[in-house]
Amino acid sequence: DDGIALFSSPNQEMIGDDAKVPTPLERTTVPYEDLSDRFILKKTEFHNQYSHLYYQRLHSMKSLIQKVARDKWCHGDNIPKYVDKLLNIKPGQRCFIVGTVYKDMQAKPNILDEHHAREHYEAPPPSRSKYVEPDDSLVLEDQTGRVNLACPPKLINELVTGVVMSVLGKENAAGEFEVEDSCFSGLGPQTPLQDPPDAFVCLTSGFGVSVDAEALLPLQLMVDFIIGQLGTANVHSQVQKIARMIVAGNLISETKNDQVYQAKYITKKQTAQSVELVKQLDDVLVQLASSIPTDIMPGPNDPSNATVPQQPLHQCMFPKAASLETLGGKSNPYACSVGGVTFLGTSGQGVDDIFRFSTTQDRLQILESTLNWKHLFPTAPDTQACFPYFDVDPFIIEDCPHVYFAGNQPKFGTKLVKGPDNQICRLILLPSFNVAHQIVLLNLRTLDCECITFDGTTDL
Amino acid sequence: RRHDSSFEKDLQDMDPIDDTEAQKIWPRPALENPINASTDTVCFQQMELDHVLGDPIQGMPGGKVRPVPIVRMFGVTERGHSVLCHVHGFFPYFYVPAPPGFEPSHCTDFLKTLNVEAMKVCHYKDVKVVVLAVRLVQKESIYGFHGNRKKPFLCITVAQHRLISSCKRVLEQGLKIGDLPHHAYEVYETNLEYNIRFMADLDIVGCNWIELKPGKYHVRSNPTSLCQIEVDVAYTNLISHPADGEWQKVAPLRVLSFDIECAGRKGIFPEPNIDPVIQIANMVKVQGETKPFVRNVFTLKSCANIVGSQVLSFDSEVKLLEAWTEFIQQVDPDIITGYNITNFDLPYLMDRAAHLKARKFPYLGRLRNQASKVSTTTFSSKAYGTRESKTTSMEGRAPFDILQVIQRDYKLRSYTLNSVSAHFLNEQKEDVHHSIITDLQHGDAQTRRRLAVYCMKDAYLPLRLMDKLMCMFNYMEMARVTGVPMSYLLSRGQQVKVLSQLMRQCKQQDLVLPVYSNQGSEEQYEGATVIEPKKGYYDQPIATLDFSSLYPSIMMAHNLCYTTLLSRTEREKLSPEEYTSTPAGNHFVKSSLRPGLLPEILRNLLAARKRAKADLKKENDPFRRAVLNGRQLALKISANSVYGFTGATVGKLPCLEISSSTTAYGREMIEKTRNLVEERYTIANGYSHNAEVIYGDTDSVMIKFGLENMDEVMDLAKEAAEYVTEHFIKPINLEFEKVYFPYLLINKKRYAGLFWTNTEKYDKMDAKGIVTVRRDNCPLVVTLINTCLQKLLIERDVEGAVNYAKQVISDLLCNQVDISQLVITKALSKTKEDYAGKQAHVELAERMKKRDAGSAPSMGDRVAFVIIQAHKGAAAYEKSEDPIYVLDKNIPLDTQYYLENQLSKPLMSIFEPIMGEQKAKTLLVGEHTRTKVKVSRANGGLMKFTKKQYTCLACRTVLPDQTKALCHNCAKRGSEYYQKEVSKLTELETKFARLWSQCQRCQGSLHQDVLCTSKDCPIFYMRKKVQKDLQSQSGVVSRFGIGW
Repeated sequence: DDGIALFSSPNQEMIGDDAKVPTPLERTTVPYEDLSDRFILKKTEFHNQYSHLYYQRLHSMKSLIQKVARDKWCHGDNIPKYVDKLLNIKPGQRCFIVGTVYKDMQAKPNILDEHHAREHYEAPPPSRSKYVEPDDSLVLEDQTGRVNLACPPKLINELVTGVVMSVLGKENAAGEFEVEDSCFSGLGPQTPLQDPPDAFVCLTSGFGVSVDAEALLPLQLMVDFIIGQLGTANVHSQVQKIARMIVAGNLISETKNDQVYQAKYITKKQTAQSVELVKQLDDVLVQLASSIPTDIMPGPNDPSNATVPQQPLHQCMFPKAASLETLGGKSNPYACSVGGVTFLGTSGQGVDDIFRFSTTQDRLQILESTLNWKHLFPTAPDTQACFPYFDVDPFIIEDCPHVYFAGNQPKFGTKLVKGPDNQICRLILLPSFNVAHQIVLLNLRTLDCECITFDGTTDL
Repeated sequence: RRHDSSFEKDLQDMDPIDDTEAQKIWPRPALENPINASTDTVCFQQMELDHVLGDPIQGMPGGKVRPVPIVRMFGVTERGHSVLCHVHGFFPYFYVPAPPGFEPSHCTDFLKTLNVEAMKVCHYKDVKVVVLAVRLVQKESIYGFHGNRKKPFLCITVAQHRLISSCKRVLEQGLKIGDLPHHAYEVYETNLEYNIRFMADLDIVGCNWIELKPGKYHVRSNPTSLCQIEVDVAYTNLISHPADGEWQKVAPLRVLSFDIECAGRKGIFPEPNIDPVIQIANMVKVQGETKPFVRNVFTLKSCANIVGSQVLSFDSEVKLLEAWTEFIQQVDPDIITGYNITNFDLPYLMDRAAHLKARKFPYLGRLRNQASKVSTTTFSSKAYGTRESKTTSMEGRAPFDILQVIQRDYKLRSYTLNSVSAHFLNEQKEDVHHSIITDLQHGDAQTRRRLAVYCMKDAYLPLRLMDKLMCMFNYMEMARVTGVPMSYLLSRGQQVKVLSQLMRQCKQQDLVLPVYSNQGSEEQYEGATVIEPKKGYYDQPIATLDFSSLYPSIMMAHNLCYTTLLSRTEREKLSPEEYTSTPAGNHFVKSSLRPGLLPEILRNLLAARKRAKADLKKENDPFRRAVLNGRQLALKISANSVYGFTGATVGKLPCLEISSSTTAYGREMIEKTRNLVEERYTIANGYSHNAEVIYGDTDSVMIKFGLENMDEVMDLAKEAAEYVTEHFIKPINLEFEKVYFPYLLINKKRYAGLFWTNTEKYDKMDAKGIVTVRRDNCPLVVTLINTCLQKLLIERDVEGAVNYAKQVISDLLCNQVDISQLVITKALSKTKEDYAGKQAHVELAERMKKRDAGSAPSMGDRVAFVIIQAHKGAAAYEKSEDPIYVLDKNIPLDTQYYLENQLSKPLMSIFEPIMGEQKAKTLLVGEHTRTKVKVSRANGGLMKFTKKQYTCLACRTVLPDQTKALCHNCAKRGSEYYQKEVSKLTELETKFARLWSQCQRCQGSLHQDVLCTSKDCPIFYMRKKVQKDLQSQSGVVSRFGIGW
């Protein structure tokens, strides 16, 4: 069996040695443009508070969402009034309002609790996969005030802090706003596809390079496949059509950043645990980028900043691969256009965070919601660490991309979403490669995608 | 635990308040019918009691000409109606011993003579008569045993309480009565308070129920007060119910909590002559109900609506203030609470109203024509120190400042509302600095709304604290047990409570109290001694036996009392079997000859406590449980304060013979216990080990039985307790309480151990006197020592404890400890001149005053400071600095000071017994102390003249190319150094994000900037520091260039 034979003979000598790479594939090339400028931090100042980010978010989405709301509710006899400031809601009057959601959650991890636990030598509160509780409740807020929402549990369960929405209803005697209906911004405008090329983009995430050599086998297998070292001529002709590769974060496995918990006299001489892994990663990237334009995004495990937007992995860490022009260090989130098809994606933190703070189990549903809410990281800065922007919220999804992905998810998933103005968007949950051993090939012409598994059983 | 600004939500969750209806719920429930004195019974719980000189009322006993003394009792009926009851006919009196040869026939002459003489010295204009009556009675002085013989005393009744001092002066100088020789009189009971005398004589105790039967009282036709029921009664016609059974109930009292905001000027504490009152928030609830039924805020200028509360806006401050008075009058609270209202809010309002000439304002009490007044008193007490206190009179309303309650009952690091709420309610409170308050006021209806919410929360928290700490029950029960009005408990010291009980007992036994003139003697008597501790670490169960209620039981066992104290002459008349000689060399008669008064009081208190505890066990109703628990606590405290009363040399009636004998007995008993235990539990007597008492203090002894097994130790300890108890006079009782295992005995009153009361699991870790209680330690010491003790005693991980300690020391030296952990606080209790030496906190307060008089700490405040690096040879007091200032100016801390003066001593004390002196010392020297980080001052000093040079992040050589991160040599290892810096960056970023988003949650708004400056919040300094650290670390990382 071919697969097994290949499996057992990863050619270690080849790694990192350009001379031994056999004849490169004739690879399809397609026009490419990086559209991530808004995610690159020009100056890094931390004296601003987070209120500005919320203000910008609400301010820039308000008129749009108001229009959606009008279209939805303002016809027939009983036309509700739009109340611009939450403060001006009159009890009993049916109206609609726009604001930012705040979800009041008792179980939300809290730095004060952790501090308290530390001081009292107690175990910190355990981390949970979900922090939802039956008594969670929603508050809608704008610059003028807050109003409690009396609404169906479904809405409470699905929504998270930071989403901008409009609700229709009226204030009851208890001072709560009784929600009759709700709406979000929805999908942004989109330039229709114009004859995209017959080529593929390979999307993947979570290489998770680790000290465990065996875990590297599937990765090497995948690299061999991409660079045309695997399979038959038939396979090669397919692989040739892969014009670009995007790696959505977590290129190395999680390392404990325990320096901060250790005394300096111990850590002074230590190096970060990630150093060795990044070295290995450099070798992998050399192989890939020698054969295919490769975009690497940082993820939560990678040595980049922790707050979103994560800045490109620094090239000083890749003494070998960074010299190749085909390797591109990208931000997370990352936006680009490949052959006229627009891509927007993250390394998955947004989806993961919403998963923790909503009851929704279906991550594809979460990804779709963020498109509908028009925001990549609604939970930033509340539970998702985020840069304190002053005059912009770069995470608003102004234009609807053709491809929208989230990396480092437990399972592959995909769905084609169609918008009211003929937008089409391919949603993709990219599984972590080191768990699923899968990559996703997206056909630029059809926006179809297929998932290839490198666990030795795949028939290549 | 809730930190989110759930307060607005709480408000919304309460019943809605309709603005148009809101005012209608202010007044009390109306009386169904006017009171009919011939058919209705008036029954009320009295809450406040005072007395005045007033006009006589037709049909009431007492004098017929003004002025006559009248007692006013204010209270509430079971249905919530307010009552004012004027009590007539009770005149003040005092005693003098009748001189030899005094016959009943001398009384008239005595009265006349005294009256004439007293009239001469008294300077009150309206006095027409001083002495009303003189009676010859048989009494006995409380002081000393006099062979149980009563002696003739003259009971002198006077027209007004204040005339007693005139009589005293005259009598002490002496009088000549008829055929008797000139005689100087010794006075008794001239120093007792009229109110307490009245209550004691009528068996009225604080907060009890008073009943007036039909036909026994008059209804006032021209009421003087705002009370719904106002009556007059003769003092002989009122029925006072002891607070037992049914009469333990509590009336639906109205409790008002309020808070004011003033618009101060930047840097200056608000002054009533200049800075306006801009908001007053009010919460009113009925005692026993969970939520306030009135929630409102009075604002100057408009304020946006707040759901769940009423907003009353005014365009002028005078209108606001006067409307508030009207509100008080309508809502008619019985108790007025808040946080620091006594010394800030109320005097401020009064001064401001006076300044603005708001004439209708100062009518906060229940009397129609009685304006409130502010007076200043200095209150001095051994237990609470000296405090200057203001009092705002509000007749009929009991002030109950929660700050005062908490200062009295709890020892805390800080008494700000923030830290108190954090401590008791587990809730952080947004704290808006007073300079920002003005900005918010000058904004719009929105910003004023924000202020109003903040203000209302400050009015709400005292109510919640009151509930949580059950203050009302505890204080009400204390008032009932000791017999004094509730307001005395906060405004007065311990003595009046004991005195009140003493007076009640004296009355029954025909005893009179001499007037002790305070010589202010500093006579010291020997306090409780301890058995010298055998220091060390005990890795075996150490049993602890305690004498229950030691001092009270000694006083009872040996019949120690004023009335049993024997003078030498009296002793010589007795046979030795009839009296006891105490170890202090004093002599007291045995109870067979005369049972003491104090033992009687103590027996009653302890029996009552036993009953209350038994009732508490049976009771299921939470409300009644709270009452009973409050009572048993009050009884315990009262029993223990009797001993203190006899030892208070500045007190009303000190008797050092009693107090020193009590402690001497205590010492002797501890010694005797040791001997009994060590003689009985020996190998010679068939036990496996020789028992050893390793330590003893005041009322407990710690015994090492030598056994390893906890069961066996507990059994032996119980047996030993019984055995020892047999050797003492009842009711002295030695009890087995707990076992410490393991046990670390550091020194006198300093030890730690795991506390076991059963063999299954330890109850807790107990650490006494090491660092925890002392507040001039920074929190780092407390955390460090507690954690080390946990590791040593619970986990039994010596190495873990050592490593932890090393880590903390290293973090400290590397400036990685959060500054809030290094803050030391000390109370500014005296002015600079009063302190003998220069003190760090006093000096700092002075410096802060020069920088910004407004935010500087004032008398009574706790000053928070850190120790900074200063020039060589600077004294410790020069190195104190305000933590905020340190953060702002990036001033380096003197980490060495913290290591040497704060950490090392307690660390050594716990590690030495375990590791040995030599090994323990390695904690303070060694590799972990050699890595240090020097912080340089942001500005000032030499830094102004130096140019900043960037050095290589790896090898620290000065870089030729100042734009780079690394030198040429180190650049090869760029990836490594970059990742190291990035990992620090990510940590700071995560912290930054979590801290600032937490503050947003706490303030309850996403769209507004966080304004809070609560220095008591554990994350306040952290939040500020992480901002700076992150900025600088981000700069470091950016030196690697952007790349790509």
